[in-house]
Amino acid sequence: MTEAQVELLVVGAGPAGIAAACTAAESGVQVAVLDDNPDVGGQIWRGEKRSAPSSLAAPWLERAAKASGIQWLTGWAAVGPDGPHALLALPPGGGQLVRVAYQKLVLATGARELFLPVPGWTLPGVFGAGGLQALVKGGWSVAERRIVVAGSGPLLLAVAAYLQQTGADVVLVAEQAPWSKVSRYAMHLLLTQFAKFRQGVRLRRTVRSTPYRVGCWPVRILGREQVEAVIFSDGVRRFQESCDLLACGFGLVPNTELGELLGCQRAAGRLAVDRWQRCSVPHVYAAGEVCGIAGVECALVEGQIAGYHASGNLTAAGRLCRKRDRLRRFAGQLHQAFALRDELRSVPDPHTIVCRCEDVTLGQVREQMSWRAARLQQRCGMGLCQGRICGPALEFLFGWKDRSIRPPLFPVPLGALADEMSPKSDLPSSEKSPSASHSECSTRRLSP
Amino acid sequence: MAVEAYDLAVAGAGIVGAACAALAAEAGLRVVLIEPADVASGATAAGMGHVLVMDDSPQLLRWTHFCRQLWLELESELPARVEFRRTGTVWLAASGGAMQQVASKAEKLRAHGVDCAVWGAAELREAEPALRADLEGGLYVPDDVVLYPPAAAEYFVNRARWFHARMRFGQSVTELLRGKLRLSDGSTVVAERCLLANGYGVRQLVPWLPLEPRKGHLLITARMTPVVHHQLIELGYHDSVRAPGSHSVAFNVQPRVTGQLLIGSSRQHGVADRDVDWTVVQRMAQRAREFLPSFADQPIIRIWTGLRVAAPDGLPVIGYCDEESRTLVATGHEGLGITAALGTAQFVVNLLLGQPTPLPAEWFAPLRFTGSASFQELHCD
Repeated sequence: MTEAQVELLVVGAGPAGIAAACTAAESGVQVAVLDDNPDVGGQIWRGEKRSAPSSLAAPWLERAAKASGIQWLTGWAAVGPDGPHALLALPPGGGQLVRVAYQKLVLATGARELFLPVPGWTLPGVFGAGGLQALVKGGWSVAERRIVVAGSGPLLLAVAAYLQQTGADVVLVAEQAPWSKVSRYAMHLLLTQFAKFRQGVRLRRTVRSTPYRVGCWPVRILGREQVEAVIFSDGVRRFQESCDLLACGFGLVPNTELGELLGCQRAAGRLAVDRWQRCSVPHVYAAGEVCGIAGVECALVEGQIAGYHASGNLTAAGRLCRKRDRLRRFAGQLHQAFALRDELRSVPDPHTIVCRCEDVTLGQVREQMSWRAARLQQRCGMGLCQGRICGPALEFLFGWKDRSIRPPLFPVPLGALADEMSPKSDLPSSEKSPSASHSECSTRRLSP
Repeated sequence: MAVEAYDLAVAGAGIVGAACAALAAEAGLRVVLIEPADVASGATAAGMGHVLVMDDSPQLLRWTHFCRQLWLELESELPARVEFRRTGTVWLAASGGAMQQVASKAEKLRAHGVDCAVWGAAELREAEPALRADLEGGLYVPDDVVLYPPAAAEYFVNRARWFHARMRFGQSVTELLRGKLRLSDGSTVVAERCLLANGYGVRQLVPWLPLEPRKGHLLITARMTPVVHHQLIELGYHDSVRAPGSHSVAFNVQPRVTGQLLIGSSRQHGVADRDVDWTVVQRMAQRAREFLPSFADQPIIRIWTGLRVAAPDGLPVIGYCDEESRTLVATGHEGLGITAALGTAQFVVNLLLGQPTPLPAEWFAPLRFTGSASFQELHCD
């Protein structure tokens, strides 16, 4: 284990993390940004550095590249907190753990997809909607494959449009929200956020040959070796759609795990924050999707508020609060429009696997009284992903919260945990050392 | 509404409380089991799940041998979920002169009728090829067991239910009154006698017991092709320093049915917090890598801690803790709660029925500590 020290550590290099890092660094704070992806940009701006960045991403990516005093630790995996003022992390390619000591921390850990168990969902060819998009962005070809996109939310249309543009044959987009809610939301966008409305229309036009059906949801996925068809229900009738791939997305789940390990309070599935984006633990901030799904604009604003506040610039932080509140209100409308319907809770049958790591079925889990009992008695959530997939699904199905989060945040090789600290003389001292308590450990400037 | 009266109220549905409740109910007592959280959610879930013979003291040797025998007799009744496997233990001779320790340990065990075999380097290598090559040998104890404790505890809870025991989950015992208990929701339970089997929690109701917490860490790997076949423990496991605040680490791994490898173990004396201490984890990982060099790349997916509870003399604390013989405790099993569960249940039920205990009752009697400083502070002002 080696030791490094920074004034502000940002975990997550998506929009919120970039915004927090830039604002803090421009105020003269020494910042490090840690992210396990090889590139800056997070999930939403994945690959935008290589291709032409969107009008929203471009200025921020440029600002991030220009800002001095930011160390970009891309490809680094956070392992877990070591006390309130340090994080253990694994550099790219493995090797020794590094203890990154910080004075303040911004959690910009983003969100992941919500998967809901559907009979047959473990068949090859079933993907998360965002997951499939990421695979294709990473170079996997879906040309001429028949794809069904199902689930809920505006992401479905974006994914469908993207897949269509890369040569796929998107045969159906199935939205579980009813027409009444979707149309009301579209009207709301038209009146209050015209740019968003126009974006939606543009996406729809990209996949204009594909039916967009609302008020229906997948109830069974068919196939022998891999997915061959999906059965949908609209509550009254059932219909079947043949396909080669199914991209399913029921919304997003905040990545609160690191915050929970730090002892930050969670409320309604997200990290609870105050007006300045501060968590319940002093010196820890949270910004972006981790404190509730609200989209990229809101993440950028929250990142700035956190960055300004962490660097002591309360005036600048305060100026952004109203904008943040407005964006959060819009997000609230989105959540209402695409709220998951109760019928989805009765889609999985007792034989449907809920925990894919440990092959635990819904029937086995349902016998238990709580998360802890399901974990102890059925090993639900005890596999490689440590409940990241089944945890949110069970929270939706049964209202079970308090999944026990334990380190490491990601699997770490035994050898990395065992490696000795480097001898002190090997590494130059950090220019600024915010904490003298770890003076026995060697320190060094971080390098990405 | 008629008040339900019980012969015995058991606090704590860990493996010890559950086993006691099951046996007492089977003996015809009207039993209620009180648990604030879920079955086996405390030390039972946090521990390793071994049933083994320990020879730290003559008493402990007789006790663990007796307890293990009860488990072996129960084997055929246990559901598959309990994952009961006679993996056996191999005590590893790691340092020079350790083979001498192996020989004397073998002699001690055999004198008590415990089956064991001394393995040389070649036999050890054949049995456990993943171990580092320079080990001199070890002591193989074939009838030691590895099992999955939460499932075993649940089996005992179901067995207690079968014999009409009642459950009060979501409640903890907050006060001991004459002939009844107060629960955290303010209600009372009328019970002739009460058994406190809630581990370190016992000290809240019986503060004069000199119980010490000993925090332990455990690591578990992802699933893999099984390459370790026995429970492996470094000899000298218990030679650790015992000063308060000190910690010790020893190599101890268990193969699980899932193909995972459970890696222990650490002891932090007098530490009752549950935080993961990375320097301890580092030492444990180093130890594991020293013994199993090819495991350096194995991914660790979960790290957690748990509290053992120990009395100063290293023996469990089982028996009445008041002059009126109303309140019993069953705690202080240190790292041997799973091993001792059935023996403790037998011990407790014999006490309740006024029958002779399987081992001398005074060995484990809580009242042996009435001369202790903490007792005198409380009672002799």
